[in-house]
Amino acid sequence: MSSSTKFLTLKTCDDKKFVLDEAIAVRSQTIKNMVEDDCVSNVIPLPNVDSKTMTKVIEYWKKHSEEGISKDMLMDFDKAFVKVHHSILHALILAANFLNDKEMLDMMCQEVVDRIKGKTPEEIRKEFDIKNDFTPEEEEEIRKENAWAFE
Amino acid sequence: METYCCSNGIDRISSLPVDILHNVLSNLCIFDVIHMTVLSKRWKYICTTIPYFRFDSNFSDSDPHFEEFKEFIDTFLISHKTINLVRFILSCSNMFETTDILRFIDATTRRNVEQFVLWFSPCEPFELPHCLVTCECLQVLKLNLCGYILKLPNHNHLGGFRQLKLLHLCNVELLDGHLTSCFFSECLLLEKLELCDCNLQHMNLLYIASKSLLYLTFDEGNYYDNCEIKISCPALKFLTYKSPMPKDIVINNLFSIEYVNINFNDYDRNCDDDFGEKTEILVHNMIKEIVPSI
Repeated sequence: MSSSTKFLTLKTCDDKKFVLDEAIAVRSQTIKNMVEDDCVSNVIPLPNVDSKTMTKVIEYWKKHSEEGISKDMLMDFDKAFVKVHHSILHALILAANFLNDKEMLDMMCQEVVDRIKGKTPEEIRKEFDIKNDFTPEEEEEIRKENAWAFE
Repeated sequence: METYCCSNGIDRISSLPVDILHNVLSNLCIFDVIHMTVLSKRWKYICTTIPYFRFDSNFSDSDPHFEEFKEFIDTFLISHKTINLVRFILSCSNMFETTDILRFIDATTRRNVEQFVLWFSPCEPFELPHCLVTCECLQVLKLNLCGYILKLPNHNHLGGFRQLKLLHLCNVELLDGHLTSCFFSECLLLEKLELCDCNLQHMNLLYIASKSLLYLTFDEGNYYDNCEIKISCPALKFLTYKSPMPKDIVINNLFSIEYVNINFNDYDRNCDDDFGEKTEILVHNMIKEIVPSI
């Protein structure tokens, strides 16, 4: 084995292949474990991640692996990165969870929190397209039960 | 981003696995969490089974709903008994009576709490309850007693704090040098010890001996000048001292040290003519103690 750059091929659930520097791919603890356990053949299948999401994940990994990048630049990148529709947020959270990239997972979860904070229930429903499946009476009952929080 | 907006109108966030959603909500105050119970049936389930509790807002005991809120905490802790409590944060100053606090502590330990954070004013010396000391799952304990005395358990040799990794004591007065030293050395997994704003008025010796300790921090504090500090921690990597100058400080067995930052934080004594000289002698003695060990 030479010490030169090793590349891994990742295959998403829609059969798209991504060739990636191993040093970058091991930001995923899941991939890292596979590499360390030596159970990496030619292609690493990622059955839970589609190519559209993986493209975003790799964009994030590459930016965060860039040499000499300043903290401010990374912060700006992260800020822009999380400003996506909640369906993408959902896909990225699932991907980060499956790939076991805690840093990325925490950042995406924080974005969900930021979109919740300071909003009324109605505003939160609108933000995430949540359907209210309570009858008005049921909702009123819950509000009454926890009046200390709602008044 | 526009290309992604094709799925407008479909609620996907709600379908995330429960543990991820719990993680999302973990840092929200319990008020915000309860607000979300009306979103939908799914969210009501998520919010009422959350293994995290955080209260640190400006609710007051004169609020007309205070008694209901207290009842809610009891109910929250008692229901879902089978789900272990990952984190409990209660920052309430003097909102609750000590008896309420003790009841909450008891309930959290029955739920095998892993991280326990409490900031309250007991208005009298406070003894760590036995159930917390012997809680098998407790890994993180952070206490702020608004300046009141913390009585450490004197039967720790029975195997208390078996899993404790981080202990953060803030704004407490410590007593009894001997008990304190036994206490630290008997937390066998303790990795991080932080003493912030502690009052050592009635201590002659603070002896921190631990085989497991990696991080030790002294930050601010009062009445250090009558107390001798002894540190013997062979695994210690990071030592930060930003408290007043103690009577003496002796550091032994620093076999693993990587980082030391010592900054005597005595504003009052800066006018003292021989302050500089004292510091020099103290640091010199400390270094003598450190060097042969490395």
